[in-house]
Amino acid sequence: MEKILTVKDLSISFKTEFGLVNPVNGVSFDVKSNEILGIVGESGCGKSITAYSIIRLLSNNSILGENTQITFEGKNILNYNKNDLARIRGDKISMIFQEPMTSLNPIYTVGWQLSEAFTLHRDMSEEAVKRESIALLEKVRIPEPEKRLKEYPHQLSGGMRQRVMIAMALACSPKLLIADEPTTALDVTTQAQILELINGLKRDMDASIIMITHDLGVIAEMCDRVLVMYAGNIVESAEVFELFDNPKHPYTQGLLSSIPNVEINKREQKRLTTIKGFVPHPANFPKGCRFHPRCPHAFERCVESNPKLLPIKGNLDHFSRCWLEEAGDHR
Amino acid sequence: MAFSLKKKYDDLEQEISGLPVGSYNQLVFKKFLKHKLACLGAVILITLIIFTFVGPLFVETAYDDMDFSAIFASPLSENHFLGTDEIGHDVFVRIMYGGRISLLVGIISSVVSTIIGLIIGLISGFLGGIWDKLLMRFVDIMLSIPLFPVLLILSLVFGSGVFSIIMVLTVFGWMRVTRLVRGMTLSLRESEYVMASKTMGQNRIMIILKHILPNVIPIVIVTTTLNLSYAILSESSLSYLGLGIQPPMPSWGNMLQGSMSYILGTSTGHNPWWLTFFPGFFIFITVLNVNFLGDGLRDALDPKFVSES
Amino acid sequence: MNNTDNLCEIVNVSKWFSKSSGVINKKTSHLKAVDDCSLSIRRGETLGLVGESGCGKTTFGRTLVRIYNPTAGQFFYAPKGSSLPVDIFSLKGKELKEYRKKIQMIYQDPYGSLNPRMNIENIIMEGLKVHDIGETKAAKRDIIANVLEKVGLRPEYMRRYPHEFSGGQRQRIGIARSLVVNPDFIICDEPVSALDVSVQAQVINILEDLKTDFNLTYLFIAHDLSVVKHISDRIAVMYLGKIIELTQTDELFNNPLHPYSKGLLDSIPIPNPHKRKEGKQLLTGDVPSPIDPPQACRFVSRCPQAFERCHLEIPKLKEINPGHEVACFLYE
Repeated sequence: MEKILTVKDLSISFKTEFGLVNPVNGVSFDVKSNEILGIVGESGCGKSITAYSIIRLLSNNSILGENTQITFEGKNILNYNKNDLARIRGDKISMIFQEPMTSLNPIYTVGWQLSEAFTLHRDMSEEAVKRESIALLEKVRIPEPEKRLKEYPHQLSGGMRQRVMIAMALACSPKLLIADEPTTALDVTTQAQILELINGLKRDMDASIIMITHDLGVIAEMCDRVLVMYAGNIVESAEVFELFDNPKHPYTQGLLSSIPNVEINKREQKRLTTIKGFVPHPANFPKGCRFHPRCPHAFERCVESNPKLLPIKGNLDHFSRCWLEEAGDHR
Repeated sequence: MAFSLKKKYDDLEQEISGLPVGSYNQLVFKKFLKHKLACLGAVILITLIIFTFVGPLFVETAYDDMDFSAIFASPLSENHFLGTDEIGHDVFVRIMYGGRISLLVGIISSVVSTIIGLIIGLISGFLGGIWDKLLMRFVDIMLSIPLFPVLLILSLVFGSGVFSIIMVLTVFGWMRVTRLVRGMTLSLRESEYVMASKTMGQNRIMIILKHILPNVIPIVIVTTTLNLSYAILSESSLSYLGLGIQPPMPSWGNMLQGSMSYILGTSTGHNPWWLTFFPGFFIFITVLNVNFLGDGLRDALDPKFVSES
Repeated sequence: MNNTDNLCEIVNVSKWFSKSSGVINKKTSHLKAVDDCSLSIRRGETLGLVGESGCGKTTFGRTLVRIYNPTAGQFFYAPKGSSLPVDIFSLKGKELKEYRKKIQMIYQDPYGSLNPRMNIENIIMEGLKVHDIGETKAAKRDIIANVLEKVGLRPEYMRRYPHEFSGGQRQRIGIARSLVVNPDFIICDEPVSALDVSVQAQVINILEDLKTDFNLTYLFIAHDLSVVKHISDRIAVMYLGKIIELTQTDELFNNPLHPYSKGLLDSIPIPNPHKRKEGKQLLTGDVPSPIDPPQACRFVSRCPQAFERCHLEIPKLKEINPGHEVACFLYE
């Protein structure tokens, strides 16, 4: 399968009042065509800014690393100027955000906002835009699409607004869709509908999706491959079944065992295991392995240096950033 | 019991790092200090206050002393640092005394109107219902009353002077604070910590005093500083229009007004630019620095500075 | 009250928010956030209350502690050892204040539930001052130190301010604040929803430990079904202001009767890729408005099994199997 997006050695720094802060470091991954890549992590791990950096939505005080390379469809998009970027944003690469309340402009109608995508990237007549907009709304299963075109965001429910946002993102049939916590703000029944929609769209439109979330259930439901992020590093990367069946990094293991298991009866529920400690602030990442203060298996080497992301024994597609792999300790 | 509990919680975090340390007030102060213009503003204002209130003690000339030997003297002339006016009043001394008046009027009227606005806004916002409706209609009525006619009437009744101006500025200045305080109170009332206090059995007055007031005060302080600049400018305008402070008692406003007759030159061929420049300059400097101070306070009090994990 | 095992009996409680509009032809519309809900809570149990946004579960909890004034209904409370149950909704003044000690609440937002201008000592002290617990200031401080340890925080942290703590720690401070007055019954309003996954586990464990150590009873309001399954003995499902199903936890998950409960349980994303939902029947449509709802089953617009009667009457909560109540005409 060809690679749509390649990110090499992504490092993001911000100039803040604490000095130069480096919340994301050494992140490398690629996205193949027609796959859903999940990036999972808790708040503060850097997953959202990683995604934003791909289409350069970061604020002005951000600095990318010297060795960082981002290649989309074979071209280095870090060299793109504003115009080039504007041409691929919304067209080849689009994004959907978490809060449907605030990512739609309340003073413009749904129809107007949908048409914006078309008018920016395609040369189309008004009727063609209207036709395409209705088709899009049908694709995202919004009932009575002609009526919706004239409505304003506040007249729609949260689930509908999210669908409109997906419609806008899909207007120009992007090759890559970045979804930043697209269902976190929605109810679980609405979330299920939206996830099913996204799955269907991936099939029909031959697009790749980067799905950013903190919800491991969503990851299990949707993704083909998964990256687990912690404190600005990728700590584990594997194909989804492999990750859930055989998690190698202590953080991933801790995360999975701290979720209450909805599949077993209440009577059999055991006390939840927790990961001791707390997520470090980017200005204060621990030296050595960033997870070692919280790791139940930490030893001397972990305090000295941060391990590299390397394949585990027996599976070249499953990567873990952990000295235990080298030490030959398999838990 | 204590031991077993302690062991159980060994896995819980015992250290805090990366988050700002110190009380809310300490953090605000630190943040304020980073705002260079605001600090400069504070220093200049303090200097001005010392200059106008303490300065006159060191000068022998009174503000209404007339030196007929030096009419329309230009600045830096002998005995008259900033020059004199048409009857030999020393401008420097009058600036000092005038500053006292202008600053006093500004400070008293803004502080008193803030206090009134705070009380009414808190009551209106917290009690809601009929109280809110009545008080807000009262505010609407007050906002519709024109400033100058009332000042005229008051000056007829109480005589013109410092008292009338302070009265008028206070009476017309509290409404803005009320609206702001009411708005904040309405939203603070819905915070979960207010609900927690209510669930704990706390009574309404204590909730207002302990939970709402301390969270409203920061914004009120900012508004007060802005009200202050508005009050100083208003005093200047009113005195300039002949209402308010009457000569020979100086205020920056009436000094400016007095200089208007000579702005195109005197009959004797003088061009006493200093009579217009200095009062205007001091008004400008004061208001500018009050605004810097207000900006700095507003930024320092911005709740976003508290980092959220 | 029927059963002395019951700590509370909540009878026909409603909370409506009314709005009048129009000057000439005055029209009042009612947002029926909680509509005619009844349930009993047994001493020592954790009753989970689940539902999606707009179902009224938070309003329900807040009405019980009288943050909102109830529109109708009674809330009978029987503390241990006392003879007669008391209707909390009928209490006023000093009497109500007494019961405030017994019935406490913990809140959802770690960033909004603590006054940013007060340090931890003062936040927790408030309860002690209001109820005159602890004779001297030193005695009060000891109580506070004790309760902080119980939630896993060092007593030295008393002097610090909320912004110096992480989300999970703040939630624990909130728990300490409620614990300090020795309540019997704690209403937990989405206490872990705003926390990261690993931190959720810490707080859930603390809640469970405290329940055993202090003989507490919980009403656990949440929307995350895995958490609710883990912690609750029984679960009530709410939809648009009404309780539509109430039964033991395992019974609900293994044998959901109401079509909404089925749809809800089917939508949960399971952290197990082998159990993907492909092909499952999912609920369609959106939740209708709770303003002036029609005289019909609230779920009728989305129910795949609705029939004529559902459009005409409102079903009542009835016991279909032992300990399993449903409000649905399919079972009548």
